[in-house]
Amino acid sequence: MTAGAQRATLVPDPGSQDATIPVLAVAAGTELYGFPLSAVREILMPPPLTEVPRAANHFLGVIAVRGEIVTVVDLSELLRLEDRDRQPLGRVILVDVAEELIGVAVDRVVQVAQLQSDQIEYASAMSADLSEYVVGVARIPSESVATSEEMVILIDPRALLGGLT
Amino acid sequence: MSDLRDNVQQEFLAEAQELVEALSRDLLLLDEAHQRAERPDASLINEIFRSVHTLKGIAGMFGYKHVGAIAHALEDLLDDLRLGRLDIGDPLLDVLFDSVERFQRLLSLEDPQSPEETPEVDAYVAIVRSIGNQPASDDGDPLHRYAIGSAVLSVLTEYEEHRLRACIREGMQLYRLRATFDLTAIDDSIEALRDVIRDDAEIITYLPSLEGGNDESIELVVLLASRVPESELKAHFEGQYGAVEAIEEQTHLPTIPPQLTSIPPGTQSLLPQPEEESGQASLRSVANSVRVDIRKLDDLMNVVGELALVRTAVGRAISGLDGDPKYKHSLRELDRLGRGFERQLAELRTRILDVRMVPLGQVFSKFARIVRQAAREHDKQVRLVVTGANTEVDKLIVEELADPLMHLVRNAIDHGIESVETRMRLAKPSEGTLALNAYHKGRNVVIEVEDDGGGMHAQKLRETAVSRGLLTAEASHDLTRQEMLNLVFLPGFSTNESVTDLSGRGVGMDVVKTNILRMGGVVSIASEQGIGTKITVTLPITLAIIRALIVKVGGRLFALPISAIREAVPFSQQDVRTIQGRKVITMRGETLPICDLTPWFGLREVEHQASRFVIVCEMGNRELGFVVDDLVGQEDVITKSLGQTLSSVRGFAGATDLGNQRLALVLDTPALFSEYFSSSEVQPSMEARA
Amino acid sequence: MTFHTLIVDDSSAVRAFVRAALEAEDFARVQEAETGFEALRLLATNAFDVVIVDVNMPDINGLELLAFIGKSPRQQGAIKILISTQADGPDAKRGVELGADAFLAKPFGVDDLRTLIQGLVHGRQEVSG
Repeated sequence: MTAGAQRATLVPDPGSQDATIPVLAVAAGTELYGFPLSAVREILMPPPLTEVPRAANHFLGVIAVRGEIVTVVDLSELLRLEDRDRQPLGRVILVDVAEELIGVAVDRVVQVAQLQSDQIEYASAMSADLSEYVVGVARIPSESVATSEEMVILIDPRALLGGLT
Repeated sequence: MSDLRDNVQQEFLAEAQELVEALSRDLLLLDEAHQRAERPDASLINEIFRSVHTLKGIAGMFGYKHVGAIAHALEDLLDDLRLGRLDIGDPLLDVLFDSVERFQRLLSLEDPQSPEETPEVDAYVAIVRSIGNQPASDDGDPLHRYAIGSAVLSVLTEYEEHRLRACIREGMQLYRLRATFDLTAIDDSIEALRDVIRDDAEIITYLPSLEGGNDESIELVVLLASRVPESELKAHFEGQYGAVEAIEEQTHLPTIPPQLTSIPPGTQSLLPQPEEESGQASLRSVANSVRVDIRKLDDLMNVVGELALVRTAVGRAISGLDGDPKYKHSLRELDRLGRGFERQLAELRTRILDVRMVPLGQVFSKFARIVRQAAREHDKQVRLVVTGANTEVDKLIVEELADPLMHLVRNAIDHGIESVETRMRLAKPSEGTLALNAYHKGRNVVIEVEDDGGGMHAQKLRETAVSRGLLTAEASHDLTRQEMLNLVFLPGFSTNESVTDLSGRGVGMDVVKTNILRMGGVVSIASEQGIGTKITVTLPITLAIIRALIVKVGGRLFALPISAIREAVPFSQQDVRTIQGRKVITMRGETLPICDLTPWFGLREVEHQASRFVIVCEMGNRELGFVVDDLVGQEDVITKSLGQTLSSVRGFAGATDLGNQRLALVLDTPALFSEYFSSSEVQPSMEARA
Repeated sequence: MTFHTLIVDDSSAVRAFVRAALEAEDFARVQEAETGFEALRLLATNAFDVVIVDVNMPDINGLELLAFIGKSPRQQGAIKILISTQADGPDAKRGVELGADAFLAKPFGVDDLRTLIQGLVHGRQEVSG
C-alpha cells in the first residue's frame, strides 16, 4: 500500500515534484463526483444488499465483502440530490474512512482522471458557501460528444462519510 | 531511529502488558502467603523482582520514562527483599499493588514522557524509597566452608549467591547433580527435572559444562540445596538423571571429581511428564507459547465459516445428481466423504476456539488489589479466596466480564461484609471472606461471587422497590422471597441510601445483568440474612459461534440467538388481547406480552401468510413473544459487527453470512427486551409471569 | 562484513530492539535465544561473531553462559557483550572477569550498540560500561 492510501487527500504534497492527483470520477444523478483514488479500495458489482431496519434513509444496507460486513450508503441520498429516480444499483465503491470501510453506491463509474493541482479550483478559494466535504471542482475531458469538458465535484471522503449516523 | 522504535513498539507494549499481568498475579500469591503468615517462596519473590527488572530495562529503551522510574524504585526495593535485606509487610505490599495500576495507566498514555505525570510519579517513587531497608544480619560468609569451587562461585549472580547462603543458613545440604541433556529436548527435560526436584530441593543454578557433551547434547551441573538425606536424593535421581554428589562442608581444598555419569543422548525427553498442579506454578506463564493477535483467530474462524459454506454448496450440487441410477455408487461415496469432511471441519473449529481460551485468573488477579484497597477504605477485614483461576473461557468473555465482576466484588465488600466491630458482635470471625469460584458445568462456565456478610433483607428490598415506584404495593404482596431478591436487577434500584466510593458509580445491578445477558449468560442471587450472599453468573464458554434460529420478518431474514428462546408456537391474530396498551396472548393460562417485529422494525407487512409464529424468549425473569412471519431453520452463525457507522441503530447485535451472499441481521435480544419494556411504563417482570 | 550475532535475553522486546538495531543496513544477521537452553542449542551448531547476553535470566544465567562461551572452541572468535540493568553491581564486575569484551547497561540506544560492536571489532579495545 502506498503512503497516500493511509491519508487520502486531494491536496498535493507541496514538496512533491509530481503533483498529479489521481481521482475516481463517479456519476450520481446528473452530477459527477470525484474521490481521491488513494481512498478507494475496490469497485464492486453490487452484491445483494441486506437492509438494516431503523437505519437512516441514506443507508442502503449491509453487504458481505470477503467475510466482512460493510455498510453501504447511497451517494445521491446522502447528497440530497433532488429530482432523481431511484435507479437500480450501479456500482459500489469501497472507500477507506478512518477505521472503517464504507461502501458508496453510485450510478456508474466514469473514469480515473489524473488531475494537476492547477486544474483544481479549491473550495477554500471560492466565495460560494459549499459543504465542508467539497474540496473543490475540476474539469475533466468529457465522455460525451456533446461537450468537451465536464465538471467534477471533488469530495473529501472523511468529511462526507466519517462519523455518519 | 524513530522508525525503528515504531516497528518494535508493539512488541514492547505487548511484553510490558504481560509483565504487569504477571506481576499482578504473583503479587496475589505473595499477598496470600503473607496473609497466612507463611514465608513466601523465594522463587516467587525472584519472579516478581524479574518482572519489574525486565520492565525497567525495556521501559528505558522505549522511552517510557515514568514506567522506568517507578520500576527502578521498585526494583531496588524488591532486590532488598529477595536478597533478604527487607521483610514483607503491609506498606510494602500496598506500594506493590499500587504499582500495578500505575503501570497500566502509564503504559496507556499517548505521551509516555508526559511532564504532567512527573509530580505524581516523583511522589510515588519517594514513598517507595521511604520504605527503608533493614541492614542484613551478617553472621560471616558461610560459603567458604563449602567446597563449591571458585569456578562455580565466579559465575553465580548476586542473587544466586544470596540463595546459596540462605540455604546454607537454613541448614540445607548442598549437592551437585551432573546430567547430560539432549539439546533438542533440553527445555522439556529440565522442566521435568524441575518438577521432580521441586519438593526435595531448591535449584540454585545450572552450569553448562564443556565436558561430556557434543553437538547434540550437553552436560549440565545442577547446583542444589536440599534437606532430604543424600541416600534418598540419590535413590531419586541417580541412574535416571545422572550422578548426585554432596558438596562437603570441609576445609581442605576441593577437587571436582572427574567421574561422569553419561546418559545416552535422547533419553532425557522420555522423562515422565509432570502432573498438572493447581495453584502457583500453573498461574505462571508457560514458556512454549506464542502471542497471537485475536483478530488472526477471527480470520481463521472466517475461513472455517467459508469452508462450511463450500461444504453446503457441494452438498447441494451433489443432491442435484440424486435419483440418477448412474451415480448411485458415487453418491454413496460422496456422502461418506462429505460426512468425514464435516467432522474434520467441526474438529478444526473446536481447535481454533480452544486457542481463544484464556484462564479466568486473568480477571481474578485484578481483584486482589481492589479487595485490599476497598477493605482498607471501609475499615473491614476481607480475605479473598479464589478457586478455579485456571478455568478457561473465551478471551472475549474474559474482557467483557471484568466490569460486571468488578461491580459484584465491590458490592460484596461495600454492602455485604460487615465491619470488624459488627462481625465481632455477631460472633463471626472478624475477617470476612470473599470467595471467587469458577468452574465448568457442561458447555457453560459458572462464576460465583460469594461473601459471608450480612446477606440481603428481602422485605427491605421490596419496600425500596415500591418506594421507588418500580412496582405497586399491591403487586409486591404476591412476591416470593426469591422474586424480592431479584428486584435488585430492576433498572433504577439501589439498596444503599448513601452513594459510596465503591459501588455508587452509577452502575447498578441492572447493568451487570444486561452485560451478562448480552454475552448469552444468566445471573442469579442466593442470599441468607446474616449468613451471606452468593451471586452466580453462568456463561457460555465461547462467544464466537452461536446457534441461532433463522426467521423471516417482512420478507427479510433475521437470526435469533437460540440461547434466549424458550419455544416457538403458531400465532393467530384472534388470540391477541390488549392490556394497558400492550398486546398480549395467553399461553397455558399465563399472559405473555408480544411484540410483532414487522411494525416494530418499521417494515412493510408482507401479504399475510396463513401461519405466523410467536417465538417465546426469556431474559432473566422476563418473557416476551416475538411475532415473525416464518421459521427458516437453525444454524450455527458467527456474528460480525455492523461497524462503527451503524452502531447507533438499536436492536441488532451484528450480521451473519448465511452463504450465497445472503446476510441475516442477528437480533440483540437483551436490547430488544429493554427497548420493549421501557417503551411505556415499566411493568415488573413478575406481573408478566403471574 | 555482516556480523553473525546471537542475542540471548528473556525479554522479547529487548530481542526485537537489538534485532532491529543491528539488522538495519545489513550491519548484522541476528539470531535470538529466549533462554540459556535455547542459546546452548544455537551455540552448538553456529559460530558467532558477536554474542550479546543478558545477565539476569532464569535457569542458566548470563555469567554461566559467558563462561561456557569462553571455553567453547567453536566460539573463540566471538565478541562477548554482557547486558544488564545493573551497571555497577557485582554482576558486571564478574562478567568482565569472566572475559566479557564489554558490559552495556540497559537501557541503551541503537547507536550505543552499533558503535560498541564496531569499536570492539576494529581493534578489540576494552570498553567498560
